[in-house]
Amino acid sequence: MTTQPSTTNGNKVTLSFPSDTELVVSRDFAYPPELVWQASTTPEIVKQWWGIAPRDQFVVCDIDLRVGGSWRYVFRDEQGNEDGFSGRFLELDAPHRSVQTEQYEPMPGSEHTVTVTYEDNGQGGTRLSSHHQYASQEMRDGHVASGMEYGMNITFDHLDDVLPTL
Amino acid sequence: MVIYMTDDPLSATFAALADPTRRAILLRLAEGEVTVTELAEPFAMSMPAISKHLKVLEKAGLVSRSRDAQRRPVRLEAAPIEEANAWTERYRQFWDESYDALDGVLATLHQATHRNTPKEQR
Repeated sequence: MTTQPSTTNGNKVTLSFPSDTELVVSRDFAYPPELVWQASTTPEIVKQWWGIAPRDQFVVCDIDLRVGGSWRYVFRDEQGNEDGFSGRFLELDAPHRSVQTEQYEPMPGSEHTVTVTYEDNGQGGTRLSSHHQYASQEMRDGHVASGMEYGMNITFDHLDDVLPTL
Repeated sequence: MVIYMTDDPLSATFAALADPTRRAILLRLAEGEVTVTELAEPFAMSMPAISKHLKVLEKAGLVSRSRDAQRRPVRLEAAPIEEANAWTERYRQFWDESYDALDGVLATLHQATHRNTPKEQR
């Protein structure tokens, strides 16, 4: 494994499994919650970082940011295959917390609830945590598998190429 | 398309690993192969209960029993665990990649904000 120089601040994603039906993805960022919230809820900005795979096109990024509003992200690969993620907002408390449903569209039945918290980490930055709550362990493990399948298409060098252009 | 197939290898691995006793058994086996009797000793459990756990682990391919007629020692099979780890790692990678990109996006946003709304004028 090689370590590539990057523009990151060296923070690492933490995955935890508090129970058989939960999955928490956490990460610290160097900027305050207001900015992380903005970057996570503004379509033009989300398109610049969320799950970008090289050569994939982020073809749909809809975020209707209100309770009951829906969101949808669709990616298209070089072969024209499309992959979609979508859901609906259940609670919004900017810039602290949002609760929404999420499903990986190729897997009907993968819908689950995600609670995202944007906490001041006490160092001028943000601890961003996504708490995924599933109906069953099979659903959780299936979700991680689907994330893996999509994530496998991502190579390392692409993202750092994109960043300087922003 | 098959969704959440319960008999696919990874689901079996995760289901097998979900139980604390089975994880303890695997930790014990990581030190070397043992007989079922030896294995049962540290656990406050009946032999049938241990056997039941072993059966789940065996089905998931996490342990194997040698054909050695008398002792039939239980042995840890590392491959499925490595596969499950690799799988979780790739999910982590998905977020690592996305969030690394977000770091850059935030830096740009921060700069733009400070350019457009200078807080302190001299």
